[in-house]
This record gives sequence, C-alpha cells and structure tokens, in this order.
Amino acid sequence: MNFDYEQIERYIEGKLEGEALAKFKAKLLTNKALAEEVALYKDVNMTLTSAYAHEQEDAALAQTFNQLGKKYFTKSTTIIQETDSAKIKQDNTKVVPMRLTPKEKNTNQWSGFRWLRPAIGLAVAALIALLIWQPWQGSLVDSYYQPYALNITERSGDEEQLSQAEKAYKSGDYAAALPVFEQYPNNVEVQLAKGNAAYNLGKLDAAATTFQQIASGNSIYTSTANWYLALTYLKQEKTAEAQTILQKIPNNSDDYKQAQQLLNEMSK
Amino acid sequence: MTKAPHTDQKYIDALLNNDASLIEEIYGQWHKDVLNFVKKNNGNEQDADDLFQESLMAIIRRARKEKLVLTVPFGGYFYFIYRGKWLDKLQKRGKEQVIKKEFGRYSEESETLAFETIFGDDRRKLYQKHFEQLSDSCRQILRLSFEKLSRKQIMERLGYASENSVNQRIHRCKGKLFQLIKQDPTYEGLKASYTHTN
Repeated sequence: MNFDYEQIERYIEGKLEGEALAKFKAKLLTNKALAEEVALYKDVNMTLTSAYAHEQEDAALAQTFNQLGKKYFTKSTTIIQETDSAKIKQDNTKVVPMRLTPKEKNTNQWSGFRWLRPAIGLAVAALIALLIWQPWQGSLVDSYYQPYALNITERSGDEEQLSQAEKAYKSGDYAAALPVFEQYPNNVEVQLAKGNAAYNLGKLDAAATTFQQIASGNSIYTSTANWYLALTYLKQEKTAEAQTILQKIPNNSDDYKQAQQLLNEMSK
Repeated sequence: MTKAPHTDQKYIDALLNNDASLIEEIYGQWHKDVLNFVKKNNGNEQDADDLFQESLMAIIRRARKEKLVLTVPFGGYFYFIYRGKWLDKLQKRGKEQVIKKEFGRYSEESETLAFETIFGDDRRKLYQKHFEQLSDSCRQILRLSFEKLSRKQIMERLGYASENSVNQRIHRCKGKLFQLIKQDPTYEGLKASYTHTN
C-alpha cells in the first residue's frame, strides 16, 4: 500500500490543523494499516535520529568499555589474547634470561674448566658489576618500555591533523606528533601519547609532568600514566621515586603485573 | 503516578556522560555476575565482555531516546537485559538455552523495564540493518534528514533543484525503508513492542 508520507509527517510534527487534522484522525481510527505506518514512522525517526546523532559519543564510550573490558574480563586468559599488554608481558620475559646468562654459564662451564675458575669468577664478577652499575638503569627501563599504543577512535574537528599526528607517532616520528598532541589537552589518550612522545625525544621532565597530570586525574588511564611515570623516573635515575610510583599501581590494574616484575628486578 | 528515581539513577547518568570512574564502578560491581552467568550458560570470557558492553549500550540508547527514570535497582534491570540478550544470542547460535530464571531475586518492574529496553534496541538493529541496504543516494539524503538538517540545507548540500524535490526524494526513500522493515520476518514480533515507548 502507498501512504502519503507528506501528510504523515505533517501529522507527526503537529502541522496538520483544522479539518485536515480531523479527517486524518478519523482515518487513523478506521485504517489499521495507516495507524501502523504512523507508529513505524515515529519510531524509525526517533530511533535513527538518536542513533546517528551520537556516533561520536558512541566511539568514546566504546573506548571506555574496551579499556574496562580488558581490565575486568580478560585477566585470567592473559597469555592467549593478543592485547598490547600481553605483548609487553612477553617482551618482559626476555629480561629475565638475559640477566641469568652469567649464572647459567657458570654452572655449565665450571665442571670442565676447573683451572679457569678464578678467571671466570673474576669475569663474572666484573660482568655482574657492570650489569648493576651503568647499563642497568638504561637497559632495564628500555626492556620494559613500550610506547603507548595510541588508537584514536573519537574524531572531531581537526580530525585530519590529529590523524596525521597519530600516524607520525606510530611510525616513531615523535617530533612531528608532539606539537599536534599539545593542542588536545582534554583528550586523555592523546595526552598519554604526548607524554610518550616527549619521553622518546628525551624531554623527560616534560614527559614526567604530563604523566603526573594524567595520574592525578580520575580517568581510567591513571595506572597506565603511573606506569609510564615510573619508567620516566627510572630513565632519570630517580630510582626511589620510580619505586614509590610503581607501588601505587593497584593490583586490579592491567599494569600491576609488570609493575611488580619491575620492582622485583630493581631490588635484585 | 510517578515514582522517585532510585539512587542507582547515578549509573544511568554516568553512562550518558561517559563518566569513566562511575562506569568502572558498574564493571567492578557486576562483572563477576555476568561472567558467572555466561560461563554457566555456554559462553566464555570474551562473550561476557561483549555482553556486558552491549547491554550497557542498550541502556544508553534507551536513555537517549526518551528520559529513563530508574525506579528499580540497577542490578536487577541490568540482569534482565544481559539475560535477555544472552538468550537471543544462544538462540542465534543454535545452542541449547536452559537459563533458570532467578525467581524472586529481582522485581517484575525491573523485568518490564529491561524488556522494553531490549525491544527498543532490537528495533534499532532492525531499522539500521535495512537502512544499510538502501541505495547510496537514499542513505545520504535520509541521514541528513535524521540529523535534522532543514530541507533547504539539504537542497543546498546535495544540489537539489527545489525543497519540494528534496521532500519527494526523502519520502520515497522512507517509503522504501519502511517497506524493507515490514518485510523482515522479525518485524511482526517487534511491532507490538513500540506501544510501550510511544
């Protein structure tokens, strides 16, 4: 059946008046198909208007939900999933064998080369000393550090500019990304990336400030910000500060495990 | 008679405002319930994650469309939503669905409100599914009209000759959309449900 949508619309918008309105109302009472069409018209309009008006908000909400979902639902299946945090955890495991290498060598080779024992002992001692002394800070931080995986789903306004900066950031061109990120002080994710960009450019004080700001807010990124803040302190050789911050990362956070691992490594 | 909103109304507001810390409270308080429920009923952790998110989105969409006054505790309302959505999913997967209803745990009022929310969301899915099947030009012009642009703005934006021709085009496209929707096998079942919201 064909309906006069012009008229239906006028009726719904309250633009039918007088005799036309009375006639239409009378028709609605007797014509079931028309009544149904009017109800459908109203509902489709209301539903789709609402759906398309909130696309940007939906993207922002999805971001919140994905973060929280990761935190509350995928914990017990850590190894299987391919999340960024899982990748970081995998990388972390490399740290442990590296640091164990000298000891492993000791046990394997001592039996056959007894006469070399003192020399090996010295060499091992020197190696351990070296590990503890200079490259310790740098290499330990670097082995834990993974740039924040920025993924902007919420787009508004200067989307082209931001999306270019996102690309630059992902390709490691932090110098190009940083000034753009500075223009989005209210986007917490972008600010996290800004801190990371500064970190990679060696602007450690600026990075620390950015991470501190995020960590003191009440977004869902506070723990992640603390994690990066701790790494920044470590890079600056402020070990005590780094430890304090790492201890602040709560055990229900995504970053808890690596924070504890790192604390462990640091106290060795 | 209007009842005063329950204190859990704060969760509805938090969802509408994307208030991360309160939304986290929702996760903190109910993720175990959802997880246990899904695991007991043929699902895994990933399903629970998706279901949690979809259920919250259904609540948000409902609250945007018309003011949602929560007169019952959030937990019961949420329970009936994820339960209903999970039943649908199991049915679609062709899996056995023996979900025991937890009698007496939540009020009937929660259930009614939840069903209204679920049906509203199902109708949205139905409408959007058929909207996507329209021609490019229909989708384009209808989107602008759903975004509340005036006929004149649409005429200028899309280069129509007159407001009248914009009007005709919109109504023809809407007619096509309604026709597709009405031909959908799920329409008859869903049709009855919008008397609740209208």
